[in-house]
Amino acid sequence: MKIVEKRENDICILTPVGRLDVNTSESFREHLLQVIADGTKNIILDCQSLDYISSGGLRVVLEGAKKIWQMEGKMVLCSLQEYIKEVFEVTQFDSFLPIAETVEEALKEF
Amino acid sequence: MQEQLTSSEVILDSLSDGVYVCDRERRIVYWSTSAQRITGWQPEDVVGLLCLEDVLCHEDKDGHRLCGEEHCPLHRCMVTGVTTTVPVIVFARGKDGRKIPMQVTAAPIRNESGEVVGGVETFRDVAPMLQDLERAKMIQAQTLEQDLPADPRLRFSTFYLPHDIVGGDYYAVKQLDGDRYGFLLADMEGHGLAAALYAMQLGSVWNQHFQLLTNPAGFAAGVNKELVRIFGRVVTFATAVCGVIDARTGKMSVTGAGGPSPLIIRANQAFEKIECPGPPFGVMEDVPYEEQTVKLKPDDSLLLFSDGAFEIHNARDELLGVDGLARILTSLDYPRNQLNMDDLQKELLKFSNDIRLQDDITIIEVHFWGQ
Repeated sequence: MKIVEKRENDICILTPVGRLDVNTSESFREHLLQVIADGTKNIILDCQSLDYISSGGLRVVLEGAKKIWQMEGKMVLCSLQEYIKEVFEVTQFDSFLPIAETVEEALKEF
Repeated sequence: MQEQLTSSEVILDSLSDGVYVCDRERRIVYWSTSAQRITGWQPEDVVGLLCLEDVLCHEDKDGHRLCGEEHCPLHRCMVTGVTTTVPVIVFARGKDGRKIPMQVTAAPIRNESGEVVGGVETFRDVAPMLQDLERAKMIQAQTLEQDLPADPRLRFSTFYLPHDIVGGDYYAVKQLDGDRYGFLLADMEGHGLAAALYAMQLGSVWNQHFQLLTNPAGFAAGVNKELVRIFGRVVTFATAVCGVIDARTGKMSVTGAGGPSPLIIRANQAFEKIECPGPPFGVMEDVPYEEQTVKLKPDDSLLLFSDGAFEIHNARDELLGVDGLARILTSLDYPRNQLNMDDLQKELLKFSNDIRLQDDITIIEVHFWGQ
């Protein structure tokens, strides 16, 4: 899976492109956990190019968030497409993961 | 000596996995020594034949023929140019007529300009592993096969189609008192063996807690607490919907735990979603769950389903979605016609244009006759 990575001070902005599903969630997981293992504790998941997320994809997001919380860091999601937004609402993942409209708004969460 | 060791044909013929190569027209052009050993077919039996001819006779685990169909793994990889990421289990016919379970991977072969000119399929005999999985399937089926309540006021039906031989979905229906019935449909994250083992554990949790379903939110809180304990430090979860229905009044309370919104199908074929958001089981301890109350009228139906029934993409990358599932059900003249899982599966596969569906599918149907 293509993942665009950018830095804004101590914040890492990850933009996964395409579908986060059974075929791609493992490569996304490796990337996300490597970023965390390298010491990044503030992450924005920019979902503007994410078309779909399966429960396996949700698990990876949860696993990353739990690791970041242990480091007293923060994960913020932004620019969710309609279907992804619905998934986060149905699972109430939006109750413990802050969701912003844009990357600029997400940056204000830190 | 060195030349012999690095010769591609020597390497291919020494592999324990069987290998064969087809050209773009699917004509078999190479058949390895190990392919002979596994299947009994000699190169002179198969080389020069189209792989879709009546020789290999590949079928999927459910007995659907793959050769000649768009669902053939080798054909698909040549069309899409994409190598198989997850091995597929198919059943091939050996020369002696026996069915051989094989784990198959396929990859396109490209020429120097990158054009796909053929495909290579590798396969291994997985009969011993399959025997084990078949036993696991039987054990899982025993857990899921419960007698559905018989009540002249309601009809319960359940449908279960695991993606692998065993699956990570769990469902149960139980009578709670004279009029009320509790139900649960849960989907462990992921599929395959690990998800199936967790689904078995969920079965034990159900047996300990189902009486709490007179209050579905309380039941959900209890199950969540148990699964948080069972998962421990493993990050995983189960999405679910549970509820209780009163056979006397048609009144129903439903609690969601991240599972798909159930559908009510009114007698006039109108579909209504019951929105019931809630956190999946096992994510966090002490999270609150809520109940939605709805009423079924005589001849209304309730459908609960796992996400495998609608999280299906077609060749244009479009998602079927719950609305798409409802359209397919309407095209099958449901609920005038009873739900037929074979017909539904065919329609879902037609939409997906894939070799097979990518996830477990479970459906619970409740038809309310009324008094």
